Amino acid sequence: MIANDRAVSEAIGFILILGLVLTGIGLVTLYGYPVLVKEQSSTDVKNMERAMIVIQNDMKSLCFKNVPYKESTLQVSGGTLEVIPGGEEGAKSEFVISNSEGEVNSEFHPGALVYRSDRSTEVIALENGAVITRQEGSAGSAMLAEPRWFYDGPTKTFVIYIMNVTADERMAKSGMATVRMKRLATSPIPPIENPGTVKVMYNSPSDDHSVAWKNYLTSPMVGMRKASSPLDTYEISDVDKLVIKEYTIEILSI
Amino acid sequence: MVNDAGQLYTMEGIAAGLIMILTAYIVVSTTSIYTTGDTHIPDMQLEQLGSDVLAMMDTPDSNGGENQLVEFVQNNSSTEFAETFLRYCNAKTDGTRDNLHMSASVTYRENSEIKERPLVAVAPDETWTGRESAVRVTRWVQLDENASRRDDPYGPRARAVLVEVLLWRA
Amino acid sequence: MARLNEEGQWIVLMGLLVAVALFFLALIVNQSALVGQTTSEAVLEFPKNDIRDLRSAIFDYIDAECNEEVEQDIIAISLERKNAVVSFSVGGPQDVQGHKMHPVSIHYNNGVTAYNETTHY
Repeated sequence: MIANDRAVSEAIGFILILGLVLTGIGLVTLYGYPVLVKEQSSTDVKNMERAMIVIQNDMKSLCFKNVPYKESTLQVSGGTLEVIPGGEEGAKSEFVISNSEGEVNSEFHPGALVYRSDRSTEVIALENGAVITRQEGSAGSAMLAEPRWFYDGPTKTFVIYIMNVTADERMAKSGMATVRMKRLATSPIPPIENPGTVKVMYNSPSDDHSVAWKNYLTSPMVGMRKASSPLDTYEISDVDKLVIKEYTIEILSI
Repeated sequence: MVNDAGQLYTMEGIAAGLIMILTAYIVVSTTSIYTTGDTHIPDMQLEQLGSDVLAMMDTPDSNGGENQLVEFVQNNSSTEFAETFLRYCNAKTDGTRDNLHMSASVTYRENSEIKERPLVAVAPDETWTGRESAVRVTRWVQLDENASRRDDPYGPRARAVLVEVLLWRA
Repeated sequence: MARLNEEGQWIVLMGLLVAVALFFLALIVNQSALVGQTTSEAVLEFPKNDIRDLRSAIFDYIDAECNEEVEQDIIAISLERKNAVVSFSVGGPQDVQGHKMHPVSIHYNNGVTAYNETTHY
């Protein structure tokens, strides 16, 4: 029998092409797919950053415009949105405001709305009217949208806003969520005349947003200085009138 | 003439189509996002409308004429206030009526206390559920010193009060 | 025997090109997601009507012979209900182009927007 080598080059060609196809599939699986997944999670995070700013604007309407109720629908994808009610217990961070004569109002525990991403380490929090982003496990944090504290130079008035978030229970949600918020009546704190030096201490045992608050409080709009001690304390002198406005927002459901 | 030639081409076409649709779906679903978007556009429009209506009511028809808003606040005429306000803001250019509702209150100062007094009750027409996406518009009103005709709680002295209107679309 | 058909290779090539193009388009679409305040939110936050209304209230106050109590009303209610620090001062009448007018200076600040005006009324 004579060996026939008529189809050899065709077989080699087939093997070459199959090899190329397999290499292509391998490359896509190895590099293309992770890029897509990364992009998706970054989109989810961006989407959530935006949603947090929408909620922050709703809160501004509730507090500064005296609207009784607000709701907005958002998609929580690639992570979970959690409500941490304020108050003495469970709330993580606190603000302590004092003047030269002692403590004005000892402690505010504002609570927070927190989004944690599944695929990345990003954490977005809506705390005391500010949208803050940070990476889980690392020290830094940054403010995406600022609250509205301010020092008015001509009248020497320092205005502090405290936005408490309350809920009957801790809530968490993933997927489509409708955040329903209601403003609760709070007894107004009368303006304090001639407080001298006003000190604000931000204290956060676990969720660390102290860098974001430091940058905000020492920014020109607020104009505070870092006090020598204790840690995370900021002060502003030459204040004729200190106005503390406390609001409480109840999250009815998410 | 119907024959069975080219069946493979048909199947290939269908397979190719499916692959294309699948690819498009994967690409779109990984990148597209549900944005909360401009949810505040209706609020913005409503707020502007309300401010304009209050400005209209605060403007006398003729020079030296009577100012409707001041009259309503002074005499505590809640029905007239609600009627006039809703007539202005429900008017549409095509002659039909819009479906806006309102409530109003007056904020005034008594020594160092800020007090609020309802002018138009929250639910005169039973449409208020407490879950409306409402906006609030405000307008300053200056009441002259006039002790004789005051049957209001604002007292005889001249004062500035703030009329606050809560406006929502039912 | 079936032979590998070498025709129509450009279709395969086009398919590859389209796939690569879609991939890069997806990346670009991803970059376009904007984060920040929307236009309508910025419009809502800007106190245009508040400032205009405050101006007219101050002019009414001048018409009503600058009652001290009215000034206190405006300052206190602005802070309480509108969260804005307001101060204004009115000087004695001056002769401006043949008219007696009061120099008025208005200061408004709500933490986001500050407004200062010096005018004659």
